Order: sequence, then structure tokens, then C-alpha cells
Amino acid sequence: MSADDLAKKLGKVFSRFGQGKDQKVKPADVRKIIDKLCARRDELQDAVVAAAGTSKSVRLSQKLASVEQLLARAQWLLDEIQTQQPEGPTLD
Amino acid sequence: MKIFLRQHSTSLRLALILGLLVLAFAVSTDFQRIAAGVAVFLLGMMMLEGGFKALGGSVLERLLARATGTLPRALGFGVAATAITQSSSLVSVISISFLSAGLITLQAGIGIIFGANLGTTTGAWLIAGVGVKVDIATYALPLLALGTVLMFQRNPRSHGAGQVLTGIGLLFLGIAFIKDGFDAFSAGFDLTRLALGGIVGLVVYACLGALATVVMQSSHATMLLVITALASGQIGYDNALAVAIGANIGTTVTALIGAGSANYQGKRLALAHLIFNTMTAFVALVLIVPLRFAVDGISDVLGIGADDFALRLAVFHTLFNLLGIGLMIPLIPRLIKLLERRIATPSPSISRPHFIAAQLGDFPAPIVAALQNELWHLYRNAAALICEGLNMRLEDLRASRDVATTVSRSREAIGVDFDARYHDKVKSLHAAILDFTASKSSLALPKDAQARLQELRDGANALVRAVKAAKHMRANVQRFTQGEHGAITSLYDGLRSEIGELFAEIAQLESLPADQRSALTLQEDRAVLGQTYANHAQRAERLLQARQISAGNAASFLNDARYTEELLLSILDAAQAYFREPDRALAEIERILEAPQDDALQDKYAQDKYAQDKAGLS
Repeated sequence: MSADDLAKKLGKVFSRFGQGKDQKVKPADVRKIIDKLCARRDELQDAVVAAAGTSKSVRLSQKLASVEQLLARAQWLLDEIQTQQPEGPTLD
Repeated sequence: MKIFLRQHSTSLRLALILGLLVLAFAVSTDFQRIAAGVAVFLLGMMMLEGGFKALGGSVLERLLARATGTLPRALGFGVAATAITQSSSLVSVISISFLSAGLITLQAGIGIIFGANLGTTTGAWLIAGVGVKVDIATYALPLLALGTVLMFQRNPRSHGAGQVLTGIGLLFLGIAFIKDGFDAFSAGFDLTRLALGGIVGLVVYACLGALATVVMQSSHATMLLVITALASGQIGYDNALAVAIGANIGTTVTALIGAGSANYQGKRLALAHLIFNTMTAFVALVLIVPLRFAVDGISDVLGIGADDFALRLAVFHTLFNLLGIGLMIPLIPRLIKLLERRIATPSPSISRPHFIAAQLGDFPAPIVAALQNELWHLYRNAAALICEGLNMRLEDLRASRDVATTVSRSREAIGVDFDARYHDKVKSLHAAILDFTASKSSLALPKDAQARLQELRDGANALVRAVKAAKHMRANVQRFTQGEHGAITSLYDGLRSEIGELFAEIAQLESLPADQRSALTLQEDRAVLGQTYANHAQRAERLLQARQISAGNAASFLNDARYTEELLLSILDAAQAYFREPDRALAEIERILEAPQDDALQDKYAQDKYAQDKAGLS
């Protein structure tokens, strides 16, 4: 998914949120997800070191790369929410 | 004759009631007014219940979900929710649906029901304190007009608010009708001549109270009648106390009738309700004299007049329900054991739905929770079938530290009638899930609940796709993995290992506490899967060039590698639907972050930005 696609998806969410509804996606929510992803990244980093030289190593490295990518996206999402909607959008 | 009576008992009973009513109307026009008042009051109760369901159903659900922690919380919820909605039946129905979906414990359900019994006594206070003292009809008319305007609005909240206002208006109007009816009735008749003293009076009037509640299906209506009759001097105080006790017993009959169609948890709750109310009524009847003294004492402290018997009856109603709660709380652990013994948990059949068959009402949270649990039931059946169909055992994979080795050791065929198991354990459940989601789509559920139901249903569809993919590759897997066939066996073990790895990882995810797991973990497997088919193709090509596998076997393998990919993606779809964050905002973030598989590793912008941030931080 490119940054443009992410932005489009986020735009759709914002337009839905902006219809004056009751629940908000707050930066704190994104941070919760980021915390979980960080914990998972640390876990995988340890697993990659432990599995060095075994058949599992490649799979674990791919998983680690994926988590790092998700973390980058989550960080980007956090920036977007903080700049576009300081108070947070509203869910319908 | 007996058969005729049995077949037409409902119609005969209805004809008898209607006939008696018509006869009474002919005898007394005042009775017409009282009966119309009861009818309007009951209509108001129904309207109020519907309105609160539309207006505050989700609020009630959220509060109820938090009332599972401790018994005091559950009791408090029962009291508050019933006092606000004035509908113990609404609170009971929500409790049964939450209990059936496994969202609350039996102890919490019992606490709520006990609390609801106390909460319902606030109705007596309202009727005795306001209803019979103020010209309540003057408030009814504007409420009815405003409520009706709102009820014509399309917005569900406005419609719900209109129902609540109209419901209150009808309640007020009903009370006014009954009050006027009794006032006029008093001029011509003196029902106190029918008063009975002593134990006989207690028993007879308690039975009358129970009977009236069963017929009107509302203890509120019985309390309204008795308080109004008491205020107009048509019933003696002692007899009114007995009617109040009887109303408590009568209300359990309604609950028992409702429990007939409930699952075992609903039946347990209805039995708990019956035991509680019967015990409370028995104790109140036995201790009627000291209770009366206590009521007098409390009434004096509260400044209730010595001749204000209506309010004193409300005090009595609250006091004996409080007494019942005080008596029953220490017995709750024993009560739970008794209920679990008398109404045993049915032994689960893996072919039948476990969760969605329960009485869930039309409340979003239990409906979604039940479907989520049922999806996992289907997952377990599908995963076991896929594994056994491919000569592996799910429990071995779950316990394995090295899935590849476990798979390479699974060489013996597992005798399984794949098609029969599919029809019995997968298709039947899938059909039940489709039926359930179709039936629930006609309800006016909130949009996010509807979307969640669709997501879970799609997860069930994905599981069926996974089983079908396994079926397609099964013959070749059986052929090449029973015994050693050289390089082709190694290739097929590679496919089986991938499937095994995913099932093992899902089992690991499942074992984590709910607050530590995330559906995003499965996104890693999607990323891994993005490169897998190309690797398989390259490996097969190398082996073909080296003549270690035949061209025919290479073609079969590449087809089966595609089936494996489809199987894994389908399992991932189902697992992601199941492990989705329950919080709406977090779930939405997960969906935003989940990338389509084809582009999973092309997010250069995000990767670069993350790398920049990381560099900036370090």
C-alpha cells in the first residue's frame, strides 16, 4: 500500500468520522497500537538472534521486516491524526 | 374432549378472559375506566421498554459489560437500570442474552436479577408518592403530543426518545384513569367489605396479587391497582401488603414462561429468580408482623403520614425486597451450585452451533460476541479437518517446538472421511452462521455492529474456502507424504510445514491474554506469504532441471502450492476477523494499517519515514 493509498484510506475514515458522531480515534489509540507493535518487534528481534543459522531465521526476519513496516505506518498515521485532527476524528 | 381442551386451551382461556371483561363492563362503567387505565398503563410500559431499548440499549449494554466484576456492581446495575427504565423485564432479557453469549457470569446475572427486583420497587414509590397525589393527567397530554411528534422522526434516537415520552404519557394517563375509576367506584361500592383478616387474608390476597400479575404480566400494574385502591379506601392496608407479596411471586411466572425458549443459562437465571422471589415472599409472609412494625418505624423517620398507607406500602415493598437480598446474598454460591446441578450444561456437539443458538435478543454486544465465538468453533473444526486431511494432527502442531520436524515425521495416513466430516462439522456450522447473520441483518443494529457481523461472516466463508483448498491438494499430499518419495516429498513437506506453522502461530496468539494480542501479528504472516509462492516455483524449477522430480509432479506441486497459498490466506482472513480489537477505534486503526497482500512490501515511503524517525531518535 503506497502512502497515497494510506492517505486515501485515512481520508475516507476522516470523512466518516467527520459526520458528527460520538466516538473518537485519538492519538492515544494509535499509541496503544504502536506500543503493541514495539513489544512485538522486540520479541521478534530476540527470536531472530536466537534462531540465527537455523531454517526459521529467514521467516522470522521477514516477519520482523513486516512489523517494522507496520510500525512506520502507525507512526505516519499518528502524525497525520495529530496534524489533521488535533482533537481526533469521530466514529459513526 | 380432553384432546380438544388441550389443543384449544389458549383460545379458550382468552375467550374466558374477554367474556368476563365484557360482563364486568356491562355491570359497571367504573370498572371500564379502571380496566382501560390498566390497558393504557401496560401500553405505556411496552412503549417505555421499546424506547429505552432504542435510546439507551447500547448504554445499558456498555454498563452491563462492566457489571461482571463483583456482586455489588451487578446488584447496583440491576437496581439503577430498573429504576431508570422502570422495566425489570428489559433488564432481565438483556441479562439473559449477555449470559447466553458468555459475556457475564451466572453470579453477575443473579446479582442483576436480585438488583432488578429492588429497582422495580421504585415504581411503587413513584405511584404512591406522585401518581395518586398529583393531577397527573395534566402532564400526560403534553407528553403524548411531544412524544408522538418525535416518534414520527426517522432518526432512531429521536424515535426512541418519542417512545419514552409517549410511554411516560401513557403511564400517567393510565394512572389517572384508574384513580378516577376507583374514586367513582367508591361512591357506589365498598370493596373493604371483602377484606379478610388473619392468615387466611394474607394467603388469599397474596394469591390474588400473584394471579393479577400473571394475567397482566406486570407487577407494576398490580402495584398500581393496589396502591390506587388503597388510596381510595377500597382495600385494607393488611390485604394490600399481601397483594404486594403476591405480585413478587406472580412476576416469576412471566420469567419462567420466557425461559421456556431460553438456553440452559437463561433457565438457570429464571430458576434463580423464582427461588429468590418465593423465598422472599415466604419470609415476608412469616415475618409480616415485625415487618409492619419496621415499616411504621421507617415511615415515621421519613415523615410519612400515619394515614398515608400508599407510601407505607411502598416502604414495605422496598423493605421486604431488601430483606430478601440480605438473606440470599450469603447463599449465592450454594444457589449457583444448585442451579448448575439441576440444570446441567448440555454436552457440546461439535457439529451444532454452541453460541448463536442461544437466546440473544436484539442486543448488539451479545450477538457479536456469540458470532465471534461461533466463528472460532468453526475454525477449530476446519483446522482439525485440514490438518488430518493432510496427514497432520492439530494438537501435535500446537505442542511442537519445531513444526518442520513434526511435519516430516507425520508420514502415516490419518483415516478421515473428508467429505463426511466437511458436511458434518464445517458445512452445518457455516450454514448456521449464514442463517444467523441473515436473520440479524433485519434488526436495526448499529452500523459498526452490522459491519462486525459481516466481517465475522466473511471469516466463516474464508474457512470454508480453506477446507476446499485442502480438499483439492489432499490426494497429492497423501500420495507423496506417506513414506519417502525423494525430492517431491520434501517439497510437499514444505507446503505442509507452512500450513502447520500458521496453525501453531495462531494457537500461540490465542494463548495470549486479550490485551496483549493483536490481529496485526497475522499481518506478518501475510508478508511472509507474499514471497512464498515464488520461492516454491524456483525450488521446483531447480529440482526439475536437475531431474530430481518429474515434469508431471512439478506441475502438480505448483498447483498445490497455489492451493496452499489460498488456504493460508483464507485462514489468515478468518483469524484476523476473530482477533480484531474489540474497541472500535483500535479496530479501525488496525484496518487502516493492514495492507493488501500484493503491496505488502512496497511501502517505501512508510519504511523510509520510519528509518528517518529512528535515525532522528537514536
